[in-house]
Amino acid sequence: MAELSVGDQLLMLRTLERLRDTQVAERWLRMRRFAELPLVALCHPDLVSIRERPAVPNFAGQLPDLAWVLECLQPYLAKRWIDVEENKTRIAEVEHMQRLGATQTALLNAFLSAAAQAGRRDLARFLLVSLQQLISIEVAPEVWARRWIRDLRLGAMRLAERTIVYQSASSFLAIAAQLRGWAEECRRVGYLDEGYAAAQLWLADWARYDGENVTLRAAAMVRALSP
Amino acid sequence: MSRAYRVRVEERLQRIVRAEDHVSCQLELLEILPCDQMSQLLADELIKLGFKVEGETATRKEKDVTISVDLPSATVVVQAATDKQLDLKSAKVKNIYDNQQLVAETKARLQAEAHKELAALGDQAESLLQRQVTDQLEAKLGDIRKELEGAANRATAAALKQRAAQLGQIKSISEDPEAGSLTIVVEV
Repeated sequence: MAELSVGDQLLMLRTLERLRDTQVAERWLRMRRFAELPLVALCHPDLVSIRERPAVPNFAGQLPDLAWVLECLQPYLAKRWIDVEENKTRIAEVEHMQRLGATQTALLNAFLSAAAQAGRRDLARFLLVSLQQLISIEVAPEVWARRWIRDLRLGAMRLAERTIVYQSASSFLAIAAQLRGWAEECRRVGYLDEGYAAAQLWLADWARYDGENVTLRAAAMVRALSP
Repeated sequence: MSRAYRVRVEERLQRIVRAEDHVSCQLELLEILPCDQMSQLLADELIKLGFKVEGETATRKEKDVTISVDLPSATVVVQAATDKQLDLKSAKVKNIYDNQQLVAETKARLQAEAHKELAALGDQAESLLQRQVTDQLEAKLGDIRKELEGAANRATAAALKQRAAQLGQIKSISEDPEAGSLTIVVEV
């Protein structure tokens, strides 16, 4: 199968949205080439997680072509990741949670690495937006974190096994630590250094979406779920 | 004349089911002073929290939960264990008509069914007990962690004061327990 163009990928994305929850979509998603499309995986991590092993797109190779699309899709990406996390709070099956957590971790690690390398941290803005919406500042972190695991059917699992499941549940929250690391790196970029403007853009987003408080809260929630 | 036979079987299962779970982690204890002195400072703080120190281990038992701290490595093991006496009964009844030869066969079958049912109930009780123990352990971990982290912080603060005293004359010490900050002014 030839490499798909950006337009083709957008078409695949829109078609998947219309066919969501049908057998056609399920068959497509089981095809590695389809599940590895960057736009499909990034917009629908919950759907691509039906695969046994996470399909990780080649973000590094395709980011230059997809950057303008990702800029336009920022609000959509934020909404999608908020929906995925809200639905995660209702997951009962342990295996489902583990597959989704593994997919999210693999996807975001690859995406963030590619974005940082390309000097396009701004393309991860949707993550700051999502975290700000998902994390409550009023409720204590250890209480708020329980939302992600309250419906899980843990049966007679021992604590060590539960810990692994909880890590999957908090996989998106755990990404906050990387974003925090970006903020620290950006603060060290001097006025005359290369990438100063991009660093300042990230810091502006960081301040706008209350990155400091939100990521501290996210870290506290992850700790609360790690015995 | 037709005859009816009533086959009745009663089985009983008595056993003790045990459930156990544990978790271990490491306290963050900076090596400000030599290991044996840091261990002693940690031991002093743990004694204030009701721990008993024997050799290089501090232990505290509360109901079904035991907390052990290995002082040199600051490794904590929290273990919850409990057991329960099970006394389960199963009764099976079946009526057989006009066939006395089937009585023995039916009795054997009913006994097998009763054994299977009791085994399943026993396993269910064991699973439930395991879940209760793990839930109990998980519920207590948050409070235990805060307590032990507090003890480690206080031991670290004590170590810093001792170290500062070794470096020179302490002019002032100010502590903010809420913020977790300690400022020591030393004249060298």
